[in-house]
Formats: sequence, structure tokens, C-alpha cells
Amino acid sequence: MTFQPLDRRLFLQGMGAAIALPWLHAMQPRKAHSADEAAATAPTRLAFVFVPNGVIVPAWTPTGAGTDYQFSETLSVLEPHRQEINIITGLAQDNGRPKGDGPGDHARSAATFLTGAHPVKTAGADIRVGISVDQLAAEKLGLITRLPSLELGIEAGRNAGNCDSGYSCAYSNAISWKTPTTPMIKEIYPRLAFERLFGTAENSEAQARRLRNRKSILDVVASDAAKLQTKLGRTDRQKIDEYFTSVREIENRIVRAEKIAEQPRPDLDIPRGIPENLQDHIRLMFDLLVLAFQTDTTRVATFMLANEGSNRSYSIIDVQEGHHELSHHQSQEDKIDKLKQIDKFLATQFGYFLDKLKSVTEGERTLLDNSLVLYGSGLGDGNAHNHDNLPLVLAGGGGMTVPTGRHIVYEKETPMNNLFLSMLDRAGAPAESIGDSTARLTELDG
Amino acid sequence: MSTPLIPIRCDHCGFAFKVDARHAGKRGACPNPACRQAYRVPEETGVARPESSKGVASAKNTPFPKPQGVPPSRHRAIAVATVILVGGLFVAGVKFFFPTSSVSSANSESVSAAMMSLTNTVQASEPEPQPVKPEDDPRFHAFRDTVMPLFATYCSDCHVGETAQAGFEIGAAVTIPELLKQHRKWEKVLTMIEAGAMPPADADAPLTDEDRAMITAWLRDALYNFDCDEYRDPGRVTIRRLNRNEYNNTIRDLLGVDFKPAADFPRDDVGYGFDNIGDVLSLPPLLMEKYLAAAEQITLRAIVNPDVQVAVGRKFAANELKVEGGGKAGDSSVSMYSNGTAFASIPIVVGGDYIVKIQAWGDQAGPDAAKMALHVGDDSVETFDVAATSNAPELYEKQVTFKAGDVRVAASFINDYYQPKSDDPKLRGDRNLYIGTVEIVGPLAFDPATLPQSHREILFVTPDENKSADDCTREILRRFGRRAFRRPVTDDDVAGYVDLARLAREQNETFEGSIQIAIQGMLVSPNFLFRVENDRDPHDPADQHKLADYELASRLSYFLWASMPDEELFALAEEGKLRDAEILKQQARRMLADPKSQALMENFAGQWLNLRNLAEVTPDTKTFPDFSEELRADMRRETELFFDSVVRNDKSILTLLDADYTFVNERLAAHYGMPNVTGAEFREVSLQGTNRAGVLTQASILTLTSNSTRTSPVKRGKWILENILGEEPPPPPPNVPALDKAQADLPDATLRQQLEQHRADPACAVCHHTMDALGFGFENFDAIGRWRDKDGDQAIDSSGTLPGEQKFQGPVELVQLIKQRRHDFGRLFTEKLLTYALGRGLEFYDRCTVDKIMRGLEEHDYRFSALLDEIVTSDPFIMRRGEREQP
Repeated sequence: MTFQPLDRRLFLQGMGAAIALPWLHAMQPRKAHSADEAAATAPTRLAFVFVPNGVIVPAWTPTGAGTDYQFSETLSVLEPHRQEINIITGLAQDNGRPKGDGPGDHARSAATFLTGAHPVKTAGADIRVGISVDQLAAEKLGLITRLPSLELGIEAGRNAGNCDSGYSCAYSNAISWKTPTTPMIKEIYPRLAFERLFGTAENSEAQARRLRNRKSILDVVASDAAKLQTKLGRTDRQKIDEYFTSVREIENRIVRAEKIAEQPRPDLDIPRGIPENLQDHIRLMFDLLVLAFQTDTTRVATFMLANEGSNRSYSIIDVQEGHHELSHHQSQEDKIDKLKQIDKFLATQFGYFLDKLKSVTEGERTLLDNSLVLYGSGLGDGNAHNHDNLPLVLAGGGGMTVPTGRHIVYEKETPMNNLFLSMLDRAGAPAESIGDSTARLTELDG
Repeated sequence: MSTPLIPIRCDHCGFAFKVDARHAGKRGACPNPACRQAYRVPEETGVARPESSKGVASAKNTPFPKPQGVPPSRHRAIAVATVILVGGLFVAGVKFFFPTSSVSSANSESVSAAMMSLTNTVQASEPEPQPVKPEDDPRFHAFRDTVMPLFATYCSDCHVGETAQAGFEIGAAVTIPELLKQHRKWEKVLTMIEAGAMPPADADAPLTDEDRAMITAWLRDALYNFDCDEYRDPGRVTIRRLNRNEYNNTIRDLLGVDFKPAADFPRDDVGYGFDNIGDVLSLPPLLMEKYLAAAEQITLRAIVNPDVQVAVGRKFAANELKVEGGGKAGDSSVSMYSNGTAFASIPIVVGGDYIVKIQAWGDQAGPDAAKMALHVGDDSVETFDVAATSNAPELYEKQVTFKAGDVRVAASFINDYYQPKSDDPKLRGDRNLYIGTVEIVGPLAFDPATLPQSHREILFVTPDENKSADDCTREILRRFGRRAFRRPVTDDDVAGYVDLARLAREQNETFEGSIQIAIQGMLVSPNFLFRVENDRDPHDPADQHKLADYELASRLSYFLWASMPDEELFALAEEGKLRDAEILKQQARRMLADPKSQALMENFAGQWLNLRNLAEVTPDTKTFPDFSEELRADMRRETELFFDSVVRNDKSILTLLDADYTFVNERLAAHYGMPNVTGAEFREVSLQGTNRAGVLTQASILTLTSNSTRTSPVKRGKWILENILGEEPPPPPPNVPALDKAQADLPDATLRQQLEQHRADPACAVCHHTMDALGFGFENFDAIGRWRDKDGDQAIDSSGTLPGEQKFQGPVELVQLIKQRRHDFGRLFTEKLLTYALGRGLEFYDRCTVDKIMRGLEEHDYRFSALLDEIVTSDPFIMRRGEREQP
């Protein structure tokens, strides 16, 4: 593969109708790091796209199963991708259920979405759920990429009061958990996400110097932290441990950045701030995600289309009421209609993402062929707050390991984490078990 | 001559104490702050008897108190007398709701107390009561023999063994101290049982009212009646990372650069209602990365590296220039085929004279040469005739004066000419302008006085023949380190950073550049990012000790300013004076008067009142076309100014509830229908004679407790219970029928009628009765806080009745009823402010501190200064202790 530099700058400040990135065919994955890798096939990428507040289930669920199924009203917007996706119904995140903890289904649905673990009900001190599937994957797949994983979002976290019935906001604002106690904070500013992926515009000498300085700084502060540790009690030490972990992670990242042959920085001028138009914002984030995969800057990503329990209004499709407020629709037709519109709007954005993934060729295949992208919600019906029969779409062929074009209907109560085990296998990061998984999903093989 | 002492054991809480014999026969209050029950001093040695059925303080503050020990579904009355026979024990409870007495909202004699008087072994003949061993405590016996069997009967289906649900496992009876250690768990048990949420409705054996009363009474007593001396504990604050606001403010005060470097940081998680809780603040890799980047940006602004930053020698290639209008940037030139502008922005660290050099040429045509205008910022400084052509581009130079900051340098093509078909060959042609490079060099002269103040303060010595670079670095970093780490620093503390600077110099960094790097390091050191407090023995929970002076200085400054201490605090700490209670109070008053205490309003009030959530409320633009972003900002501003007026003028905090004044500008006044207010600036206005009073009638609160298209009386009621009266309503029981059932049954009814129907279920009514009444009292205010008499075509009914037959007509009367709950509000406010001040959730033992603060508050007419004095001199604020190694 050859890299052809772009011959012109792209200016995106003119916030016109759409500010999605013009597609960059010149931006091919970085040259392989070694001959061995060059010989290997393109890696499998994993992405998880989170939809808040459940969906209107009847409008979501396709009729029929297997390859012979009819698209539903909501998912009809994905019809052009029929041959690249599997619609999955029947999976459950049992640990999202109260288990005696009372209300808080929203918080639990986000907390369990990728962990399958039951979150501790707390407003503060002892936040704990479980390591999430993306972070398990990143532990293996992230070793050779510039970023082990990428976490994107649309909404900042709420920061006053409780988020849901006594659950810390951390549970509603994150789906990715590096450890059972450390949520991965997501980036919501496109520009900052871009700089995270590709650095800031500076010449390579300045960048090298900055990395060198950072490394020396991290050495010194790590020894400061070690000195401090010896004087601290148990809980304080845990906090400083977190500090160490972060220092180490950044050190590793610097070492990797130095080792990996210098990567051309996509020459894009991403707007500062958050695009006013919600669709622009979502699509820009999807574009960055594709760019991250395409350049092999990371192989694992999560994207929250909104925080769980989000009460944002979708005025872009003329829905003025808050999403969460609407989700308690009391069976009122007009509210259900508006919810369907939201479901459809979000699915449409997902379709855009699939288009983009598909437009990138990797040898004989497309980037979509080489990805496994899970799209869906941690709640089934947003009104009923059920944690089973979750609305899910698994897109991409996972490097031709998953036959697509099907509606796969699982037996009720099949743990969603079984799907994760199967996804990890296909991505080359197999795990014994994760959360409440019981077995691998053989149906994925077709 | 001293009189003999009479030993007394309080009949309520078992607290042992002595009283001067000359008080025999008189009345007093139990000295145990958690109890405070009235007693009569016996004529002879003996046991104090409960004085009357009027308690002094309830065991737990309950707004519109729920009948303790009475099942929640029971209908309420002014007074409910229950006589329950349980397992041979006679338990009596007498309740008054919403007493008009100004003393307190307390229940009368609590069931628990009555129970205690029967289960407690009366030790009338014991002259010197000894502390009771936990195993001999009669309350433990009551637990083991009476309560545990009930747990076993009703709860063991789900709460036994390894698969116990919700982490609550019925095991062996625990002693009172063990139970207190796990108070959160047991409080949850109490709440769930009391609210009727547990055992669940579909349980095999429904819990009888009597048994429910027995369990809750016992738990209440065990959790809330304890000896403050025995359980004296300042608690332990987990090491706190600076949150976003604290980081911004600290950088501002440390370096004098005010550009909010933390604006890009992820939001901090919230615990116990606030985002400054040590336990909750985490430090993921993403944040570490931001800290590194921020430190680089900060030092670039605070310190000038003359080689790199002052001397500008920046040459922009054509493809680095930005273009507006008729131009196109290529690799070698910006080609302007019609009028347009090519520009670049450059950061100028020191102001002065610079030279701008522009390489340009033209396609010449028509009578004139191509003209190129040079703009610096918005000022036109020169217009060049660009006669050069592509064979021989020329440099066009101009000396210009730059101010420090980001400067925009722009070259514009201003005389486009296009006459391809002109008959006159002299006039025929196409004139274009090409710009090859833009270069900025300078400054021509450099005046050290123009260096930023932070630079001059930090670099107070520079190396010369007499002083080595290492020595200078060490001096600089020790001076800086004391402020950055908020404590004295030693050579050893800064040694690593001195090395860092040396390493940088060895790699050809200037001295200034090396200090930048060393300071970057200090700004990502845990000693800066975390507020470190040292223990004498971090592993011994019994080792309670006072904080060091410097640590106290930081506690004060982060409490009141959300920032680092200033020089006065540092100086007092250095002199060892800060631990003096009087000086602490003086300092707190001084700091409150300082503008920096604005942070208290933004962060404490902003979170306590949920004002921050106002930013996320989305009133429907169709229903409320008048709502605007400006109005949203005004709403918040009103409440902030209002809170500020109470705090700074040292008014009673009760003023917050019913003040007859507020702050408005023209827009907000129009929103409220107030005449004669013009202009954008806020001013104080009287509310006398209006239908508004206090914070509950402010548009901010009314809006953030509404849905986007309509009000939500339930949300408003719940908000008041939680944030004003200090009762977190227990979660609704599972499987609540949705409101739609009521709506389907009564399609034409008002929301009020539908909700009444909805809460007909006694399990709902127990909480909703009060919650909905509170909310409906404010129905005259629409979802963005405007007054209305009708909702659609239905007249608003904002009358209601609170428990205790307290009737009200409209919001102003309701506000007065709420204000009668001053004790509950005072307690809630105290708990919130203490949580914020400490940066940790309150523990069971903090009850003693809160009680003490409450007494001080009540003695001083609820003035804010009394609260402040009490908090900054309280044990948890000035002390800490170690921690067991094993959780």
C-alpha cells in the first residue's frame, strides 16, 4: 500500500449544511510495522455504538428469522446494508435487573451494556461494575496501535445531583470500563478526539522533543508518586495507584509512538467546539472513528450516541420533548411516534457509519468486512425498562468470520456476554469468560 | 463547697452522666447530642425518667414525618396512637404531624424510645454506670432475640448465603458497634422496610404491620441513638484530586494565567451531590494526557522562553496560509484570481515592533499594478503595489507594531481586473495576485518589563558567574513548589525537577525553557494534582489527630474559594497560627468577603440547588417561544445573586426560603410580569405584595423541575423533599402501574385529578401525598416559571393540605409552611455544606457534628456566619485519622 499525500487542505469551518469529512481515499492504513504483519491479513476492528433509553420494540423487531426476514419500520433505514449486517434479538443483560437494588434501570442498563456485571448501587465511594468487553479487547489488540482504544460520545456527563435513583452518574455516562472501578471517560469534542488520534499540528522535531520531555516528566512524577505512596493509607493509595496506571499507560503510548514509523497526520481542519447541528456532530464523530480504524490508530472503539437516561430533545427531526421524558410514553400514540422517529434517526446515522466503513477498501475487502460493529441499547423497551430482548445490530463480517444478512433470534435470556465472547474470538482476543457469560454463540457462524 | 453528683443513665439512649445534686428534681436534656431527650433529675440516685411525650429531636429528621413504626400504608391523621403488641412487648407510639410548635418537627415519643424503656435493663441502684460491653447491651439482646428471628422469617428467601440479593445477607446478629460500622447498608434496609418496598409485594409471607414496626423501630434506635463520646470520630477524607473548577482556579492563582485550561477536561463525577468528593474523583489515562497538555500550555503562557517564544522567525508557506474570498492555496503560492485574503495567525509573546515580509508577484494587466493590502488585526497598515511577476517574485516588507497575543496578519488582493475581451490590447488581460510566503520576524527591541508578571515572579534569579544554573533552578522551584504543593518543600522534594531542568539544558534548552519543563513536571505531580493530607499513622484508625497548619489552609481555601491558599493563609500556616479557632473563624470571614468566594456560590449552590442542570433543560420551543438562551442565563444568575446576597450579608439561611426580594434584569422582570425594570444589568427588587417569595418561586428552580412541555408537580415536590427538607423519598415500589392507567380512566380530568387517582394505591400515597401537595402548590408557575391562572382552559388549583391538616392557598402560603420546617431545612443545609466542605459523604458518627452545628445555627438565628464558624472549627474539618489496612 502506498501513501499519497493529500494535495490540498480541507477547510471545514464553513458550517454549512453538513461538515462531514470529505472522504480520504489517500488515507490508507499506515504501513505495516514489520514484514510479519505485512503478511498477515488486515486486523479485525471492534466498535460498540450505544443507543440510550431503549427503543420502541414492535417498530424495531424484524419479522421472520434467518436470511429470510422482513425489515422493520425502524431498521428499514438499514435496508441498503442488509447483506452486511445481522439483526440480533433475544439477548439479555440479566445484571441490569434490580437484584434487590430497586429502581435505577437506566443506570444499570448502561453499566451492564458491555460488562454484564451488576453495578454497585452507590452515589459515590464504591463505584464498581466490571471490565467491559472493549477494554478486554484493547488489552490484547491495543498493544501495537497508537491508542489502545477510543471512547467517543455526544453528551458530556451530568454533573449535579444523582443520575438515576441513587446511582453515580459514572454508570450512566460511560459504557467502557478499564477496570471494574475505572470508567473510561469519553471525548465529545471532535477536534480533541482528532488531536488525541493524530496529535496536534506541529513539526516532527517539535513533536519528538515534546514526547521526550513528557517521558522525562513522567519519570520524575512517578517517583514523586512512589514516595507519596509510602505515607498514605489504604484508600489514598488506591487513588495514587490509579495515577500510576495512567502514567504508565501514557509512557507506553509514547514508547509506541516513537517506535511506530511516523504516521502522516491527516490534514484536516476540525472545527473547535461542538457542532450545533446534532447530525453533523454524530457524523463527524463517526468519520473520526472510521479514520481511526482506517489508519490503524486503534482497533477498538466505543461511541455513546447519548448518555443513558439522556433527556436531549431531537429538534433536528422536530421532536421537542426530551428523549427520556418521551420514553415514558404512557402508551400515547404521539409520543410513541416521536420515539420511533428518534430510533430511526439514530439508526440512520449508524447507516452513515456503515457507508463510510464500506467505502474504505482494504485489499480485496472493505473496512466494514474487517470490522465487527455492535449497535444497540442496554434497555429493550424504554418504557418497560426491560433488560432482555435487547435491540441489537451486529454489522460487518469480522474479517469474513461472521456470515451476514440474517436476523438471528436467540433463545430468551441468552446472556449478551456470550456474544461478546464470540466477538472477542473473532477479533483475536479470546477470553475464557466475561461477566455472566455462559458459552459462546455458535449461531454466529451461520 | 461542692455538692455531690448524681449519676444518671438516660432512659432513652443509655448514656451515662452525672449531674450536680442541687439540680435534683429539675428538668434537663440528655447531654448525648444524638438523644437530647428531656429527663428529670431524680431526688435520689436513680434513673432519669422521660419527661414528657414531647421529644426534643427526632431520631432522624423527617419532614412531614412518617409514622415511625407505623406501616406506611396506614392513613394519617393529626395524631395517631398505636398500641402494638409484639412478642409480649408493649410498644406505644404517638405521632404528631407538622406541629405548629416552633421548636421542632419532632415526633413525640418514638416507638424506639418506648421500646427501649422496656428492653433496657433499668439499673437504678448502680451508682457509677460502667460502659456496657457490646454483647451485654440489651439492645443487642433485643436484636438477637426479637429482630433477627423476624429477618429469618421474612427475608431469608432471598437474603441468605452466597447468592444473597443486593449484597444484604442475613447472618448472625451483629452488635451495635458492628452495625454502626455498616450503617449505610442498614440504613438502606431500614428505608426499604419502612417504605414497604421490602419484603416485596409478591413475597410468600407478607410482613405484618406489627413486625414491620418492630424491625424499623429497633433499627432506627440502633442507628441513630449512640454516644457521641464513645463514637467520636473526625472521619477520614480520601485524598482529593483537584476537580476542573479547582484546577482552573488554582492555576489562575498560582500563575496568574486565566485561560481556563481545564475547559477541555472531562467532567468530574459527582458523589453525594457534589463533584469534589475524593472517593469519586478518578484519574483515567485520558485525564492524565490532558494534564500533560495543559501543563505545556500553561507554562508557555506563564514563562517566556526568549529563544523560542520572544524571537519570532516564523515563515508561513503558501499551504499554511488560510484563504478567504477569491483565492486558492497551493504548495508554492496562494493564487488569487479575484479579490481575496490570505492570512495567518501568530502568537506574539511580547509586544513590540516586528517586520512582516510578504513574498508576492502578480499577473499584471490593465492600467495598475496588482495591489496588496496588509492588515494586522483589523488595522490596515500598508497597501503595496506588487509590480513583480512570476519570473522574479519580490519581498514586500513593513515594520509593524504587535501587541502580545494572537495576531492575525493578512494580505489581500484588492484590485482584481478581468478584461479578456477588451479591444484595447493595453487594457486586455487578467490581473491576479500570488502570495508565496508570509514571514514575521522580531521583535526589533525586547524590553524585559514586557514579560508577563508570572515570568518575573517565577524566574526571580537567573544564573550568572556567582550562581550556577542548578542552584538557581533549585531556588526557583523551592519557592514555586511551596505554592504549587501548598506546603513547605525541601531540596529533596524538588531534586527530581532540578534534574529535569538540567537534562533539558543539556539538550540545548535555554534556562527559561528548562524552567518551563520543570514546572510542567510539578504541575502533573501528584503533590499538585492531589490535596495530600498526612497522617501520623495512616494505618491506625484510632489515631485521631489535628491537621497540619498547611493542610488546614488548603481545607479553608478549597472550601471557600475552590482554589489554593493565598499568601495570608500561607503566612499564618507558617507561623502555626491557623489551628487557633478564633483565627480560623476570622480567616473564614475574610475569605468569604473576598470575590474569590464566588466559587462557593457557583460550585456549592450550583450543585446543591441543581442549578447546573438548568443548562440541560430543554423547554419546548413551540410551547414556550419566549424561552431563550439569554433567559436561561438570567434565571441562573438570579438564583446565584440571591444566594450570594444571603451569604455575603450574613442573613439567616431561612431567608433563602421566603425572602421578599430578588434580583432581576429587564428580560427576567418581563418574564415575571414586573414593571419598570429596564436594562440588562441585574438589580435588587422587592417582592412584597407579589405572588413570589424565596428561591422556590424563582424561574431557575421552577424550570429545572419541569418537563419540556409542561410542569411536573411530582418532580417539583420531590425536588423540595430532597433539596429543601432533606428527605430522599424511597424509590417507588416495583411494578407501579403507569400514569396512563389513570389517564385512560379519566381522559378529561386535570393532571391533578389523574395523579390523585394514580396515587389512590396506599403504597404510592405514602410518599405522593406530600410530594404531590408540595408540587401542586407551585402549579401557578408554568414550566418556565411564569405566573399563570389557567393551564389551557382549566383554572389552576394551587391549594392543598400537608400532613397535619396544614392547609394552604397558593405558593406564598406554602412557602411559609415550608419555612416552619426550619429545623429540617437547617439540617439539610448543614449536611450539604459540610459534605461540600469536607469532600466526603457523611458517616453515622458525623451526626454528632451536625447536631452541634445545628445548635450553633439555632442559637444565632440561622445566620450563615454561624454555620461557617461551626463548620470550620468542627472536628471533621480540622482533624483526621488513620485507616485500617484491611477494609
